[in-house]
Amino acid sequence: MPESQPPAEQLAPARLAMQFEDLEKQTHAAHFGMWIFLASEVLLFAGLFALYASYRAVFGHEFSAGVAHNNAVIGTSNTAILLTSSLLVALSVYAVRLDRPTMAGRLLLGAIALGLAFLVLKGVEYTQHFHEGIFPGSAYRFEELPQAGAKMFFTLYFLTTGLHAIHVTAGLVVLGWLTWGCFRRRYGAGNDTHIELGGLYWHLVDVIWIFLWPMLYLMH
Amino acid sequence: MTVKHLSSRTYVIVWLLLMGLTLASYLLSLAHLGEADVVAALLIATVKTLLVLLFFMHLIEQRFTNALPMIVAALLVGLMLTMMLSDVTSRQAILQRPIPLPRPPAATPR
Repeated sequence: MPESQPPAEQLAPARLAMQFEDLEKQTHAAHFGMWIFLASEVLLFAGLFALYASYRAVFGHEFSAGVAHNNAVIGTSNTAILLTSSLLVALSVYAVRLDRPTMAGRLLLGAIALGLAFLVLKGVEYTQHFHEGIFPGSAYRFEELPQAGAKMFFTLYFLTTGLHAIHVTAGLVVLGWLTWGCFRRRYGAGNDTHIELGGLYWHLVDVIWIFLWPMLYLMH
Repeated sequence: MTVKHLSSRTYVIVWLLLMGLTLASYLLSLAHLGEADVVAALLIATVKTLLVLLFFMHLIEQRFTNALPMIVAALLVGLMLTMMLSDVTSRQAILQRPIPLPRPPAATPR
């Protein structure tokens, strides 16, 4: 399969760093490095997933009660929001490959708006929990579920969703920077590595949520 | 570098699949299947993750090398879960008592 040829007059040519022989090798190294970083992110969350699985094995009943108490409507909406934002990011990479950075910038703006909506809903949820006396760790004072297992469930809930929300925030900063670059016509066909790597990060945050959602909202 | 780029229609179809699986997972959770509930939810999540990795993250159009870090990470996660769960479930005694509340509940008879 021959590759699609970029236009002769490139508006935003990719720069070759001095340690690489050609752009293809540079791009491949950048992608592979990003995948290694994303794998390490998976292992970061894996520690919390393993804690959840272990405590659930011990306090099965209390964990089910905790999951049932969480707001599944908000959780499910957030899942749909993140999946849709991932679609917009994938389409923005597609637009940049076709040398349409302005289009890509608009799609990224949509993804940013959805990411912000995700964080707002998370804030609403946290507020509800605080009003009920659900806090992490020793501050837990929710009288409906006073057991140690329930306290453990909600502590893990705050840890996992909190760490995830920090990742969403970082992803939004990255997407914002890429959006600005798109509108400045800094990216185009043959020069899409930044957009691709930023997109990969956003999709990984989505993948983590794909597992957090059933763990915290569905398995009751 | 790349084999063949996906078309924009592919992305939309994958997104529709993801949304369908999300809805299916939500409806299954309402059915209260007990243990099967957990297995079904995790299976659906795994299928959704594969869709995102292959299409949105373009692994399907890239060389196999790029998939290796994720494959290794998945194996390591599986190993950690197996070890930790087999440890916890084979212990003899775990304290399960209610934690004391910071203030006594109201003295109204219920």
